[in-house]
Amino acid sequence: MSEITCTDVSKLYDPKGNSILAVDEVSLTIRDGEFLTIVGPSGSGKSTLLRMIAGLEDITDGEIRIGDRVVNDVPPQRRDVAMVFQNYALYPHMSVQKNMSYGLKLTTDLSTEEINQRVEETAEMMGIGDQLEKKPGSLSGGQQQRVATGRAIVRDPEVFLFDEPLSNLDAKLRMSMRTELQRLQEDLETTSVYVTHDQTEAMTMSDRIVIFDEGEIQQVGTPEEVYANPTNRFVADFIGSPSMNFATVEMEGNVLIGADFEYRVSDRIADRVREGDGGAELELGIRPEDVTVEAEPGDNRIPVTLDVVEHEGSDNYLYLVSEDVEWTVRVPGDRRPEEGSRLHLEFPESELHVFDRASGENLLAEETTEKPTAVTDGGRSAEE
Amino acid sequence: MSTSDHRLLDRLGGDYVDRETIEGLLFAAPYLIVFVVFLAVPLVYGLYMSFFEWNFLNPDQSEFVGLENYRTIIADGRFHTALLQTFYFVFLTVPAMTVLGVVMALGVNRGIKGTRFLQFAYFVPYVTTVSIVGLLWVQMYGANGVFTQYTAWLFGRVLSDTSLAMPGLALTTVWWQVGFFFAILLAARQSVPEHLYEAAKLDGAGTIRMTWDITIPQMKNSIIFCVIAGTILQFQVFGQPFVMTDGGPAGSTETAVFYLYELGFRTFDLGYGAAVGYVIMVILIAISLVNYYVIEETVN
Amino acid sequence: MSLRNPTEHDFEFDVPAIETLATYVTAYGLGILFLIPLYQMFVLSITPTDELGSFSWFPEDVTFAYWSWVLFEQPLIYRWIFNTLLIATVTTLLVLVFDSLIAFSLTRLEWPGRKLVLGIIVSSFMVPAFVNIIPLFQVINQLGMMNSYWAVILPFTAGPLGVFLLYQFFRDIPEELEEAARMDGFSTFRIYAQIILPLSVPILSALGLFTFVWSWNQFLWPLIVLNSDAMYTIPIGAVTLQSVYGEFANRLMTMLAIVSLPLFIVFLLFQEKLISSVQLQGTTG
Repeated sequence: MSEITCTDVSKLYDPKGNSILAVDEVSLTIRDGEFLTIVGPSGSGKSTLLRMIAGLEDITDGEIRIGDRVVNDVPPQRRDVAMVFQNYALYPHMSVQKNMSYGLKLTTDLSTEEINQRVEETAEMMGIGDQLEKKPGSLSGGQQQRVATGRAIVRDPEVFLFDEPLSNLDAKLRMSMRTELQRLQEDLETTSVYVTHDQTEAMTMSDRIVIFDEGEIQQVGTPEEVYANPTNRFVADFIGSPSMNFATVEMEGNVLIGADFEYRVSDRIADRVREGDGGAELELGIRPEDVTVEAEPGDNRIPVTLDVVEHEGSDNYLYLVSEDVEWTVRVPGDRRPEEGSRLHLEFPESELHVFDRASGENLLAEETTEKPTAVTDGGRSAEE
Repeated sequence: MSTSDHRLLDRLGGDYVDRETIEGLLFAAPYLIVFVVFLAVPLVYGLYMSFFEWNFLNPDQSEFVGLENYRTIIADGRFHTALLQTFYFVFLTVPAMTVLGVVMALGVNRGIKGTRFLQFAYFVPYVTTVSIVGLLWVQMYGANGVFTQYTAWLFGRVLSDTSLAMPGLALTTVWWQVGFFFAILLAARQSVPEHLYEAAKLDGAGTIRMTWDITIPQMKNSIIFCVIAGTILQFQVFGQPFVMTDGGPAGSTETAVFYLYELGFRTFDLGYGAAVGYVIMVILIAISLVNYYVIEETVN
Repeated sequence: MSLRNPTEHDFEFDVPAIETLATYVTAYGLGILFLIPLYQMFVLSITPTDELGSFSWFPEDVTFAYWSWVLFEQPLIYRWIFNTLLIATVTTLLVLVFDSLIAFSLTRLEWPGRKLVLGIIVSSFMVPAFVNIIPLFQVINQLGMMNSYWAVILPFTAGPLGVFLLYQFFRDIPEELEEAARMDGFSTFRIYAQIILPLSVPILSALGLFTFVWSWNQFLWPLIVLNSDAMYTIPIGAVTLQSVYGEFANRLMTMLAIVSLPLFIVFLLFQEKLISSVQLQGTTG
């Protein structure tokens, strides 16, 4: 079992003189036995970071350690990592059995019987014990995924690396594989790094989440932490579905003034905002489930018009418009106001987020939630 | 087609389906005509001719001989020799070109500098015509040619020695035709997905292992195509012996198609020639089928 | 992990460098070997006759006398280049027109028997090109086409390769485009000429380039049906040079160099395209 440490890791691509900084001085510690997810939009550099850990990309600058060994110059096969690829990368001309035993044959001194036994055990565990003689092309997408995962597990590596392993599956299969992978990782207790662009996957599977954008770590924390206490607007917007509502505001005294509403906050919050900012443009953020919809106007209520109602099973999503903002509100499924009606939004100050519009920083971070924000070592140092 | 055709169609075509049939046939007609006249008819006509002692000047006076020509083939030692020599030629060229083509394709694909130059060097002989190739190599094999210069032990007699002439033609052919193999195998190499190599790297495979375990199996279909297409093409070798050795010395480079040419256009034995042509065709079709199944069986 | 195979470790850092070096040596070694014959052709063409007696990589004296001799005193060469150019160009145009018309008909129009026609054309792949020469010669003879350009061109247009390539390409062009055009009132011919052909420019140019080079280089068939100096193509004409200038390697090589120039130029201009047109055959095979 191993800890992975990245220290000031950078990746610079230089195609024909146009250098692209894909990963920018990232520092991160992945704890021994942890399931850590790196989530971010495509092109954010998350896969590049994973591939540097795997050894498939050179490290331009900085240092990566697996356990107590610096692996910068160690070729992939000697890093003792196994990877599950997005498109599985199964060898099409080899049987499932060969696919799974190939790495063991090349990197270990195990006898053929031992290898076969290990492959069979792993295949049983993955529920593909009866598919061993087949070639990948004749398997379903879900079975191929199991083979790819089995191929990684059978190696018994120090580290599992997952590069969007479920994105080629349909929604239903993706959900069941999600739980299955999670259960497997819990049983094996192998350090795992899981890259995805799907924030739902990140939220449901991980011990901790790294939110990645433009080659930099935006925030590191448990799913609860990053959800309730996003450090900046990007994280607030990226995590949670549907996304947080944002409205541009200015603060005068204790009042946040939007285009057609005013929202008075307590001294504590106002001080906090002033401390971090100084009167520049701000953005108010509130999650759809923290908003309630009232029929009557009132103090600290935002007048809106109901545009569309969408049914999502047990919940309804209301899409509402005010002067220059579209609001999304989640209400119970039995609540169904008439489209076009005038309504008023209300939300508690405790759930409010206020961002500096220029830097995106969450000025109320650590204040709006009860939980102490034990943002980890890696996350902090990355922001400096 | 023009507007007048459409007026014609309107007159002919009652409902839409009929009209589409007529249009379909009109579009197909130009090719179908040349296909029938210059491919299908000769094919049938050749079979017809093969049953005659064909009179070149007065085809009407040709004498029907039944299967006589085919009986002659069975006893024709010169034809059997030509066939064996053709097989020998194929055996000398196709495996060499396949291996060389794979080496070239893998080399060019390894991200080395100057691939455009390399592609030029490997491929340019292929766009040169056989007579120029032949004359050039006659010069190279000649007494003061570059080849003789460095193979003094051959005494400049490559093309005049009965056991060296065919390998000499084969070497020329490899130089001339390997570009075809190279091009196809390069495309095959380039279409192997990169992620397989990444997976293999993590599995602990080095370059040589990856070549054997990933690259070659992934290129299998293209290699089979090259072997079959190469066999069929090289079996029909004609220009090299015609230009370089005239089938000699002592008939040692006389190949099947060369013999066919002799029969048809030097001795004007057209009926017999047509029969020989048919036998060669049947042999070629058989070879490609056998080739396909044998390779398919051994690879899987 | 303790399972690791320790013997591999020793070579860890040198292997990639050695592999790269080996690749360069092999690839460039082959490349240079492959250019030697062409280099020889050029060197001999500028070697004076008195130096022909022995081999040398670089002649001591250099003369361009044979180049000017061929260029200015051998008009037949130009005739051959013209013949070849004409035959290759007409063949290419006819192949593109004939093959695209029938491929369009087979993929876009419904008519009884088209599956059968397609099957026959595809199965004619099995017929080796050269075994047909004797009956084909009879057909040409009886059509009175001997020693004419058509005798070379028309049989070249009968091959199934282009039909097959275009059939596969046209088949994959979305049906919706054609349906939209029909609703706009396009005639069948306009759909062919203004929708399908413009979309097929890449494959048509690949097929055209390949057909051009292929017909330019054909040897056996023109040898059979062309029988006068003035009608010869370059491949046939070149052979007759041997008997006349075989003793003078410099003159012969100059002629060969000059008659191969047009196609070398085509190749240099379209190297990538030509290679990919050959690759096309591999992927459909």
